[in-house]
Amino acid sequence: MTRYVMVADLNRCVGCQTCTAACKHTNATAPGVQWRKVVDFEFGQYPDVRRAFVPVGCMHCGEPPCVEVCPSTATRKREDGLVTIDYNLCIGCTYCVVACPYQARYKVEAPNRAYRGEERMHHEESAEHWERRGVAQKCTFCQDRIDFGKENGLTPGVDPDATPACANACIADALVFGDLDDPDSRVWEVLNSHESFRMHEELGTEPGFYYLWGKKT
Amino acid sequence: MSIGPTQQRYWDWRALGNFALGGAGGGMIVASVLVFGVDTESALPVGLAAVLISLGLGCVFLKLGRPLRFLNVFRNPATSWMSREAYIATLLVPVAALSFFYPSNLLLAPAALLAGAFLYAQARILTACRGIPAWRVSQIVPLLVTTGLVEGAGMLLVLGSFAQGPIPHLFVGFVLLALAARALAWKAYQRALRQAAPTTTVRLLDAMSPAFLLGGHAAPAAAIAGAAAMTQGGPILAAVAGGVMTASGWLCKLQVVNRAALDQGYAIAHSPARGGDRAGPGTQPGWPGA
Repeated sequence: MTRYVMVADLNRCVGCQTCTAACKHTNATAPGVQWRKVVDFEFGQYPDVRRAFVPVGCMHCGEPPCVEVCPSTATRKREDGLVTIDYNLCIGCTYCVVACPYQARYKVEAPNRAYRGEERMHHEESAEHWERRGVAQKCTFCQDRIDFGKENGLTPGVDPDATPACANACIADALVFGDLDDPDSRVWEVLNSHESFRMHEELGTEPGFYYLWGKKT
Repeated sequence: MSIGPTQQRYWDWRALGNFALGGAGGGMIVASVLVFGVDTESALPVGLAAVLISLGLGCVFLKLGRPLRFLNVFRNPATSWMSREAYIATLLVPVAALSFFYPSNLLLAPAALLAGAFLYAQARILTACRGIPAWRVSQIVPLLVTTGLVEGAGMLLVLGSFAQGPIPHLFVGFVLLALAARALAWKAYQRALRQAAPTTTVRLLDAMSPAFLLGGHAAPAAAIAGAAAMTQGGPILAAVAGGVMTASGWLCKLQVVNRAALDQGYAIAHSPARGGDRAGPGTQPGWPGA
């Protein structure tokens, strides 16, 4: 079996948002939409203040609540673990959006326009993505790149052309992508050598996004 | 960018319209059949309820990003409560509408059963939303079902103000029972949210609770009991009580579905080591204990 997951090393992430920019550039997402973003945690009282930069987005859950609630079957889970959206089936009811505990989903109804009152820029007109208008959208783990890689003998998570743009772009090598069921993969290696957690595990979603917080002793 | 829970902004007045109008309509059908039986007296309220439910579904239609694809809503009854609600409504609305023209037990009894199923489906739509803590607690199911019955009974009282004669004792009993059930369901819902919802959600719902319990339950209960004892003006007082019952239910849904519907927010179980320090505890901003 194959289960593609993403691992984020919280000790490496510096919150530069390069992954955010890479995702936006690769997928031409609309203004206000960030399939991948990094949230900035700062908490505690002096002198015990703590800071963490946490990449978030669709967790491609093993038990995705979005798939359960979707009335049109537009949202499905592939055998390799990717949670996908068929834009041609989606009716834009946003049931999946409110069902997702990770705020990973969006619905955009207006044309791409970063600056209101101004004419649209050339790149906004050329990368319209009409198929995503009025329907749910989210991080796809760059499934087109993964599928291209599998068709051409490349290994997702190893070969850049078969790896999500965010993981490719990360300047600190904080994002690692790969097959959790492959003992030779980097995700297997880092998860076995580090302590990790998954966000909101108590909700039973079985997220496919792991956060490393320390080396195992 | 907020990392704590924020108000969900996708299910707005249009979604609220479905829960308010659909809930009141479903409740009115159940209340009417239980109180007046499968007889001609139920015809008008059941027919009106069909209109209310249709208006509620129309609100949902306005919310769709791709409304011309609305038939796709029927594709997933296996797991989706929205699909199931659509199937139930597809049967309920024509059965209820036909009951208006041909009132009989063959139509009114199924209409009541379907209306009860509709109320239940609406509540289960919310419990499936793991992204909204205020919705996913199971105690929201009795709350939504009982408030639907209260709202429906309230509308019946408003309709009944045009009738002659005293309010039937069975009706008075039904109203008092429904009000008591909703009050209990509300308290159970509040208790369930104490440790299971963001602090802002709990604060908003606690703030409305005294007015909701007194104004939405005690006051109309007293008014109904008084109206039943009055020789003149009883239906008018009952209609006022009915209006308060319906409005209080809709205000409750406004809070639960919109204003207090905050998402889960972000959380980390552990914080990383930075600057040579050791890894530390995590945090869940906006929640009790954070």
